[in-house]
Amino acid sequence: MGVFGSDSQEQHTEVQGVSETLLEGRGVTKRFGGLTAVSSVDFTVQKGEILGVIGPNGAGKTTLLNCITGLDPANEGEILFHGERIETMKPHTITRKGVARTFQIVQPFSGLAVRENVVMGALFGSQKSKKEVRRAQGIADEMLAFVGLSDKAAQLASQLTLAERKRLEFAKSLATEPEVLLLDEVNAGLNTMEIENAISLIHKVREQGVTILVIEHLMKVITGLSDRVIVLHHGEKIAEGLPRDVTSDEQVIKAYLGEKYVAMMKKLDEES
Amino acid sequence: MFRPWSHIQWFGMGAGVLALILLPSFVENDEIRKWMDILMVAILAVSWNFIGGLTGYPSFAPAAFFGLGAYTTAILMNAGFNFFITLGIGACLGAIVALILGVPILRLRGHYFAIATFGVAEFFRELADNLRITGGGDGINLPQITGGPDYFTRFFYFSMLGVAVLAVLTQYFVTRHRLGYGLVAIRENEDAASMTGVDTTKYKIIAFVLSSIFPAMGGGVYAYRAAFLEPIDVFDVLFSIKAIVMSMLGGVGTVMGPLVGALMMEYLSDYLWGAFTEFHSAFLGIIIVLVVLFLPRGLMAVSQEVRSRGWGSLGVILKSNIQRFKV
Repeated sequence: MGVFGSDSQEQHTEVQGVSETLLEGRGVTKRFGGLTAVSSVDFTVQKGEILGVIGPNGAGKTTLLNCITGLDPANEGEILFHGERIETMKPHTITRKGVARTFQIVQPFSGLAVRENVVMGALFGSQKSKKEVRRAQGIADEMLAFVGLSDKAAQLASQLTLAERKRLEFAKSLATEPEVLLLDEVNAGLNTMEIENAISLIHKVREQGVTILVIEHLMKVITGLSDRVIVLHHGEKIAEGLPRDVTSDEQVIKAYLGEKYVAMMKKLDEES
Repeated sequence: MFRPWSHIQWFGMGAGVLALILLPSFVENDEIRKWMDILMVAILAVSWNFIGGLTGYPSFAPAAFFGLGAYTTAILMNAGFNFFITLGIGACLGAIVALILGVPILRLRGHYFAIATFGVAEFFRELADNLRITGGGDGINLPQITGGPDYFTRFFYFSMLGVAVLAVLTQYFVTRHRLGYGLVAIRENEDAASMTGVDTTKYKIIAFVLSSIFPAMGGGVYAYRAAFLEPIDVFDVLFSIKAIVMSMLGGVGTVMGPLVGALMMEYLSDYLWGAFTEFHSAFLGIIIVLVVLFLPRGLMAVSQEVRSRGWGSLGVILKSNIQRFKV
């Protein structure tokens, strides 16, 4: 049995070539007072894919994630996981159903050892929870080896570097045995080397049969990573499709670089 | 975090309990009474640890549950109930009250939670002050225990010891199982805990209920022993404060910490009372400040660090503790 025994089992039952919708949002809307942070967004996440969500700062990416995970429930719309509506469920219930996430600003249990952080995920995260502490510790050790933190297991989480803390977030969420993993800007604040490591880790996770929704504001990173991309701007979905189509979309370029830049490029095009 | 006790540690605990059981055979009634007081505050400190130490919610409610248990025993014994049955009923009542109150007040965090729990104790004091069934401000008498001083001193001592052992064992098993891990996760980061799958609302309420049961039983024993209760005696905020200070002195969030803290604090308080009768409160206050400054995580944490780094590092450890306050 691999690291994610339960998930690889389920993969066998999947009919090859037929994609199955794992997570779906219909008209998801979230308002904060007068501000509409997420405005009637539809999305689907197919089993086994990596879906990228991009958009400039303040586009509503993290808010959308908070709606999905129940941390900040949506005002309107439906969110379905395996066809079951989850938008009114509490965060811990959603986690146990198989939706895990990492935070952009990492949220470790700072006063606890690295290993204990991951034990928490194994103890509480899965529906078939590992109620025994000792079994959870076993899973935690596997996860730490998977993300390459085994040698730091006994250190306090607060003593890790930022890159290591991001990997700890990975291990903690993976220990909940998720079917879909939501990653919130795992690369923010990392250097080029660390970003490469993080990306290869994401691929490694997907190879284990975990579906991934990844938020990113670096275009370059997301195009290399995702199978499909949706673009948010001012809380609205402005584009959806293959990475290379989306990145050449005029609206997307406008959202990222401003109207002036687009006008300038057009002028340059005409001149040549 | 919490390792199961080794055989040696279990043996040590067993020896400690045995020593406490044999204690009355070797010392005067006066000394037994002092140990009974230590056990009583140890019960409060260990119980506070469930909600305050493990879960990180600074509760000032121990006095409320202590008084509730005391009055339950008083009223029921006057109605002819057996003493031990009243302890059980008091514990249940404490748990029910904690359950009902926990739902609204455990939504609050930090200072707001502290103030709300403080209000709970005040509310019960006012209630006892004004109800007829509690005797109001005049207080309430309990049936006198029969038998000589040798007998009843031991009777109350062993009752208190029984409740204390129950509280410590409960704490041990909670901290070594899933429940304890969930409580610590809430203390460390409540949002992250719920994202990790911890049902935070349920767990906080369980912790609050656990923290109410043993003070209520201790209050029952106290009431029968005192034979007379006044609201101000048992709904005294000092019970809550003692519980908190002792847990902090010993080490918040550990099983042994509150026990060690209770023992040290009572002995210290007793010694200071004898040596500086006039100023003993002031000295206690100074000690509390020093503890907060130098031993924020308690004696247990420091002793652990000293064990792993040697006595030479004691100065460094204390220094690093104060440095937390530099901005």
